[in-house]
Amino acid sequence: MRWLDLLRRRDRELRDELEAHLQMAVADRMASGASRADAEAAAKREFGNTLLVTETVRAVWGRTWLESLWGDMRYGWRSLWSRPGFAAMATLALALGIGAATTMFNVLYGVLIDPFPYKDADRLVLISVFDVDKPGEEGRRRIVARDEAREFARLTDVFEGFANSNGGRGVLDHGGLDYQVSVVAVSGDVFPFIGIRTMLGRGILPRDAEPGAPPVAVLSEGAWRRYFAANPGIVNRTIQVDRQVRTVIGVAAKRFAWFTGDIWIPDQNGFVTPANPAGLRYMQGRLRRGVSIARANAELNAVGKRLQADNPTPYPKNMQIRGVYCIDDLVGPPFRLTLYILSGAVFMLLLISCSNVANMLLSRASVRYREIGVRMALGAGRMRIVRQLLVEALLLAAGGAAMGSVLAYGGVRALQMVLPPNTFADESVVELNLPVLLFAVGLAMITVLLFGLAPAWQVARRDRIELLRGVSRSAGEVGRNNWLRDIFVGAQVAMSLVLLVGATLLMRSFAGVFMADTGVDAKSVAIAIPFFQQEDYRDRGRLRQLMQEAEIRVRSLPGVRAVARAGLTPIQWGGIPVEVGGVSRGLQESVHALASGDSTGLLDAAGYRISQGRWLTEADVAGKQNVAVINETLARSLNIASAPLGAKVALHIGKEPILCEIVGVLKDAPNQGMRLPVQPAIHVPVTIFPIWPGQLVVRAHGRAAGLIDPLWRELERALPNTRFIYVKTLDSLLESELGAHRFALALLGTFAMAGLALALIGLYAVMSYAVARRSYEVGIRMALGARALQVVRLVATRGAVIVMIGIAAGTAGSAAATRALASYLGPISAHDPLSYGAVIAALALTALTAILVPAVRALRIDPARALRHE
Amino acid sequence: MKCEEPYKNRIELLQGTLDMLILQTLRWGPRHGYAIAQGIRSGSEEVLQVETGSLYPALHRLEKRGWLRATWGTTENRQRARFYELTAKGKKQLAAEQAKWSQMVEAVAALMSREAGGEQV
Repeated sequence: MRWLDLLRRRDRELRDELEAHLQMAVADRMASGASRADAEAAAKREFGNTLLVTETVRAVWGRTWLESLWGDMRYGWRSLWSRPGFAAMATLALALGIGAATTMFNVLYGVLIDPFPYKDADRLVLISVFDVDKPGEEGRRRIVARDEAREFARLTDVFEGFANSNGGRGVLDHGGLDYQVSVVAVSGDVFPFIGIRTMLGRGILPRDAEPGAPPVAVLSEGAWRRYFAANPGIVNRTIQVDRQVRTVIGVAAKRFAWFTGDIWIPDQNGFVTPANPAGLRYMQGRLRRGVSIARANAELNAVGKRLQADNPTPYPKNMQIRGVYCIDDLVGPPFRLTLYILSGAVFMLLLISCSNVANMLLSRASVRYREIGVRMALGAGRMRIVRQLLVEALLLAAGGAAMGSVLAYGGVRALQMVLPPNTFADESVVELNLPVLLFAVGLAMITVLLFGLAPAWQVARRDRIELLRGVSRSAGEVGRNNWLRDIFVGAQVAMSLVLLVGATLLMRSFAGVFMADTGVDAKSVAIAIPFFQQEDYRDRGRLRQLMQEAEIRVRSLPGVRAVARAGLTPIQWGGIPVEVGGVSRGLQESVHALASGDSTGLLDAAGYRISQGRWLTEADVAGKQNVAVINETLARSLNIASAPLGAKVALHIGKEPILCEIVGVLKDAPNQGMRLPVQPAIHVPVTIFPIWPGQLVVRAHGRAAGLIDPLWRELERALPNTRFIYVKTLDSLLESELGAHRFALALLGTFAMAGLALALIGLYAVMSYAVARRSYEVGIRMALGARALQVVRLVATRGAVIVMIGIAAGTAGSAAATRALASYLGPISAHDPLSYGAVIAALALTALTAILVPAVRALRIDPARALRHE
Repeated sequence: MKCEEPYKNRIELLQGTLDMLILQTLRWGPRHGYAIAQGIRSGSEEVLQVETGSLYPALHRLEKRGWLRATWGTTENRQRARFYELTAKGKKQLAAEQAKWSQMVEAVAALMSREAGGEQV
């Protein structure tokens, strides 16, 4: 406040100057012989009125614009303070709008718009092979083999460059301890390709990827902190990764998380390892500037057709090769849609809050004409009035903006804590983004200024005598701008309704996911997946032996109820799709199904329920019997649901189909995660269809969480020399799957509540003013003997009509808006009457409260006082 | 402007002359408000009395117009005071006022003597 200091200094100096004058006059008189008392009295008399002198001098300088601004601010503050309810509601409404909108747009920005710190990330695509006959992700192969990659790499006229990467789990041996880390092998050109910066040292270069080059590694910033205590001298030191000694050549910059790696190593062998003989890898290309994805896809497809012609085996019949934008990949369509829906909701919230404040300002304006009339009659110029109103609006907006920023900051902090893992790019950071905040604050400011000046605009068209005569006397006289307010209230009710209906529908469908039957007792089940050394995968007989022994050892652990070897994880199979053809009963067409090789204990371990027949017996598994247990969906797909037992199906695995007899049918249980429909599935003995390395499914007597540690220790003993063993409870896996849902649910709930709160605030404020404006009329009516009910009806009718129109419009709007949600709602209909009914009831109740409270207050108007007021 | 005793032989300042008198007083160098008042009083042989209520507004008005510059300093009696001095603009203004003043004095004198004569006729 420097200008304030300036003002105070001028006053102080003037005081000093006049004081000095007085002192000198006294000194002079004393020098000529007067006593101090006489001298002081005479000097003062001669000087005259100090205050008057001060005032006159001040008038010389006049009021600077700063001083009048200060005056305006104080006046504005007093004016707002005189109606603290209005100020609080307007500020709150603004703050809610700004806070919620900023928070949400920040998530969108961090997750969708700019998640990658990579060079030209918006042109990066992942080359994938699609089977057109299968829907979506199911028919997609994200990885390509070495031979395919070689061919794609020739398409340099559409692609600027390529990156090959293959991530995997690995072990960092450091300080005598083994750490599970993510080790990502990259081709030599990846680092320059994505334009990575290193914090220390250098990145991987093409020469590091040449065969025979010394083994090196680059650490992620996180790994460097976690395992090496952020040691700045790490470069050129050696570390041991997967039993191989490597020299650290650099530490990557923050936010660099290519394939979620902790450690990146150069690939020197075309990604070929004993476990990956085909050299499978993820291949990304960057489109040349100006090249459309369609053209790139056409070229990729041409290469694909050639490859298919040379060797049709690894390709689906109807094949398509496409580049998929990396951003689309990492932010999957469901989560992306959630974010769009949320941002739509939030923008609506911002609009609601702005219209809310606009409305309050308009209402307030109508009772200020008199005040403004008086000020103008006393000589205030029009510009002066406008400036004063402007300052007042700015004060209000500043309060809302400040509080909104605090809310936004808190919101972003809270979101950082609840953001679900694995739903978007690890690279993305959600943080308070200044332009976004400024946008929301700006919108709010514009609203406030626009409508804060409404009285001035009205006054400009009015005679000041008319203003003075008291236009505030009754509603009818100033009714000319009522329609604007009514529209605002109606629109607000309508928008709140759309927001609430959308949120409720989504919440209902999400809640359905949470409450759906998982088919298994997720809390008591744990899974364990061992990862062996690369060379161990060569001797599969030994692997089978090891897994069998591990199963037996785990069975004897205290607290274990059942254990089994299984091909896939319950609920989240992910799945190895196979073709299943019926060979008996005339079924010719084969269908796709997920196949799993399991051992006898799985029925109990996973808690599957038999619907017909039996599960795989010990004899089936040990004797490599060609028997199968299918789920109800597969039975229906094969058209054998009426009598499935004894039917024979051909399982197309490898070269020769295996002919299996169906011995049992399982009740359907989710096998593609909780949100996707159940897929056809087939279980066969693990001995005829092994999946490497397979996994152990363990069921505890109580909760599985307590079993994780002993299980892991026992497996470490049973399976020495593994790279590591992944042990998790099924519950925690579900949690990470449903995290995104929980997140969306929490957000939607918050926004819906915020919308309802805003609607309440807005209606209440407007109705309160309507009552205040009509207090004179109410007074007269009551003096003339109007009854309470009549008064309430008088005041409330208009509000009620507007609310009803708003609700009707909102219902129509919701019906249109929620159609877009339909695909996302699952079993819930977009016109779910329960959701609509609940929302309309809630909103109507809220509106009723907002209307009735001020209306009842009108009853307390004292007729005598209301009349005397004039 | 009120004119109080103690000196009966004082006259009120003509409208607009105070500014000129202040500028004239400051011709000899920077002075503070009290010294200016004293200067005008003694310079006019105790005839012209400047009220503080007129002096200080005038000083600040001249400062605002840029004819005077003010700085804080100390008097010979170690009294802190605000010293005023002429700026270049102020000097030019003084010259203009002086010219205007002598014109006016001549005009008024001529008028007054003729009227005095007329009365005698």
